[in-house]
Amino acid sequence: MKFEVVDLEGGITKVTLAGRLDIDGAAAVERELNATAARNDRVVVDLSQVTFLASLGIRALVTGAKATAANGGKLLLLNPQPNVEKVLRATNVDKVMPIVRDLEEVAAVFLL
Amino acid sequence: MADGSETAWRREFVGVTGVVGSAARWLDSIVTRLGLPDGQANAMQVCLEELVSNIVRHGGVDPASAPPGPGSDAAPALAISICVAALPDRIVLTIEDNGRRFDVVQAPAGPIDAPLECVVPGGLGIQLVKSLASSLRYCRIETGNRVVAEFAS
Repeated sequence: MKFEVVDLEGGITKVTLAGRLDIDGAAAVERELNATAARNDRVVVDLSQVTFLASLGIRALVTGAKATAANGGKLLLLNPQPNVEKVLRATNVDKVMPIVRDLEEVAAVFLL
Repeated sequence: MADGSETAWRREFVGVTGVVGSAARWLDSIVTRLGLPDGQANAMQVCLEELVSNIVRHGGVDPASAPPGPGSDAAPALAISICVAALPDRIVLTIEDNGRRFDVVQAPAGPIDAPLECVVPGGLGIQLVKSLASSLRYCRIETGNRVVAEFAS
C-alpha cells in the first residue's frame, strides 16, 4: 500500500493512497494517515489509485476525518474508482467525507 | 468439477494468520478465471473480506463444535471452508467455520447516520455484506456457522 503526502497551495495537504485498502492495507497506512490528518485542517485523500476498499479501510478514513475535524478542519475524498465509490456510498461515508472529482473542486470546498 | 450447469471450487483455511489475504487471493484467481464483470467481482471480494475477517477477528473457536481429542489440551484450530459455485445466473459464495455462533443476517447493521463527530469508526462490514450481496442466508450447522451469499449476474 503506497502512502504519499504532498503539500499543495492554499494550505491543502494531499495524501495519495495506492493499492488495496483491505485488512492489510488499512493496517499499513492507518497510523500514518491519522497522524497526517491530525496535523492538518485541509486534507484531501486521493483515492484514484485505490483498487479495493473494505470496512477496515473505511475505518482508517473515518478515523482520519475525525482527527482533521478535531482541528476544525475537513477531510475530502478525491476521485475514487467506481467500485470504491460504491462501497463509500453503501455505508454513507460520502455523507461525512465529501467526494470531490478534481483539485478545482477541492479548492471550492475549502473556499480558496 | 463442471457438471454442465455449475462449476464449483472449494478450499479450506486453517488458523488465523494470513487467512484473509490467502482467501482473497484464492477468490481473485477464480474471478479472473470466470471473467466476471468488475462490479460483481468486487461485490464478492468485499463480502469475502468482511465475512472472513469477521470470523478471524471475532469468531474464535467454539469448543463444542470440534473438541480436542482425548488427552489433548490443545484448543482446536479455527477452520474456514469456502466454496464458490458459478451458476448461469449467479455466483454462490458459501463460507463455513467452526467458530462461535454468529448470525450475520440477524446482526445489527446500518450505514453511517450521524454527523462525523458522533461517528464511532468501524462496524460497517456487515452493512457492506448486506448491501452488496443479492441475497444472504445463515444457518447454524453441526460444525459451526454457514453463511451463503449470492451475487446475481
